[in-house]
Amino acid sequence: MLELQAVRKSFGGAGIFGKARLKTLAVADISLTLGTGQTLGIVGESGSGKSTLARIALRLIAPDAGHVIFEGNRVTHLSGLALIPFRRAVQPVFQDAAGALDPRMKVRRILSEPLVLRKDVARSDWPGRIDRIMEAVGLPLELLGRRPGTLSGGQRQRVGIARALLMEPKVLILDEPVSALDVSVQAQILNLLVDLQRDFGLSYLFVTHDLAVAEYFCDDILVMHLGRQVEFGSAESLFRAPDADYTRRLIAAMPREL
Amino acid sequence: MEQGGYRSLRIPAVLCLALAAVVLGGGLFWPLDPLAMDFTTTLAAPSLAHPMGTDATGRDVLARFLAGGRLSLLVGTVVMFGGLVPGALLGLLAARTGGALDLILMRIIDGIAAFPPILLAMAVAIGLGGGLWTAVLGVAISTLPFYARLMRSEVLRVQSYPFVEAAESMGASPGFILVWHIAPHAGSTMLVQSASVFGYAIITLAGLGFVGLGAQIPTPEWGVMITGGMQYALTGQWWLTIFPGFGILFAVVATNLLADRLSDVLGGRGDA
Repeated sequence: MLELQAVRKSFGGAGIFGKARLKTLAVADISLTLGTGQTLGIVGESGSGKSTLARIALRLIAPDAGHVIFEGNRVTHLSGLALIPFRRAVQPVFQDAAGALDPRMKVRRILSEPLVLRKDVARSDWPGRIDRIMEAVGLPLELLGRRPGTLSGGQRQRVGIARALLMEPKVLILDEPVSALDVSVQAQILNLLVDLQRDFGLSYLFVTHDLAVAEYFCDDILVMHLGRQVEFGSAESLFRAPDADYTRRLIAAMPREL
Repeated sequence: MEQGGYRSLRIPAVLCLALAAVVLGGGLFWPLDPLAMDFTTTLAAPSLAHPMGTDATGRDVLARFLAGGRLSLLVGTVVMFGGLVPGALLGLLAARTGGALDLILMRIIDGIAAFPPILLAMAVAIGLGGGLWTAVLGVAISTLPFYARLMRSEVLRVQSYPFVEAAESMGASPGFILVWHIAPHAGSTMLVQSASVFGYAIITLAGLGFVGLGAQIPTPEWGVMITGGMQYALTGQWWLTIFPGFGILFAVVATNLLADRLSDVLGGRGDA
């Protein structure tokens, strides 16, 4: 479905006025393959490059080297119209649901944005689509007239998910989708994501720093440290028998259940 | 909070509308010629025939006050748009292109901002031969940095939000993002800035008129009227300076109050 081939990205380098700046390697030769209906976790501390990797997979930033491959086609250097099928199929859900929703817009307008951009849904069908998607993500229709600032964190995240789903995507790139939420709300959102995956046949690239969430939620897990892959394996084998020291230390640092 | 915000907008809005109504509508009810001299009634105190008195050449001060007010509204509007349109475009261009062009444009803007605004306006007015409209041009140029810097930072601020990345991921073009996301945010900020520039333009042009670089005698302009009446302030003919002075005070307070309240209502990022 979605594949990354040895992608590499660094930031910094030559500054203005030729001042030499330290170059930081954010993502170093990471390869991964996300199968249909699968959930692949990217786990790492903050600064490990996992969000950069998510943005590369979304084609929001271009990798310095390597390729993004979607359904067998290289999309790394496509732009404009050629990129549209990829844009429709791969949608983000961001951590900061407050910043991910335009604070000036009411929920109805936020959810009409994907329909405006898709151009293939008749305007008369918009209210029905929006109502159905609100139901699918478990939001009452009264919230359509509200602005994001008046919603709870969990409600905002559901709106963000609903917006992504209105594009009828095949892949969701979930960048820390529950990290900003209370634990009880985290569970609700994760359960919603599980249901949506089953109902819509979605594939998830799930970026998180939270090993416990990754263990619960992911089929395979890729552990990143300082931009590099330190370990890859199924969630089960990774937790049972971690190969890398770094993974062992991450697991040891997990809070124990009481 | 939104409710309270709109309520607090009522007072400055009423003040601004009252000013506009008095100044624009007053001419219909008070048709005396602001330039007509009458040497039989010089320096007359306020009376029913001349509610604001007359000046040293017998001109009706109320007629001059109303004409001066119309002129102030006009120059305020001209300066507001004269600075807003190029300033906002420069800021937008700088923010969207980035790189070397951004650097060059913003250093030019810094150069303009390095002059005290009133001195810049004076320099332009003197350099282009004085008079009201060169002064207007000078004041408009001096407001460019306010608009350009604000527009640039507002565009960059909005662009940095994940909702713009989400729009990009849905296939939105830069033009769509500009219209759908950036314009509503930047527009309200620019509106607030425009309202305060309006008041600033009125007081600066009155100041330039006062020192003889703006409107010229005998144009009925509030700053010029104060200059003309100043020598009589000590001999007791207070009405020559008090009324235009009050006009400036009222116009500037009303528009600044409006700008301040607008920023409360619109700048609230809509979280209400």
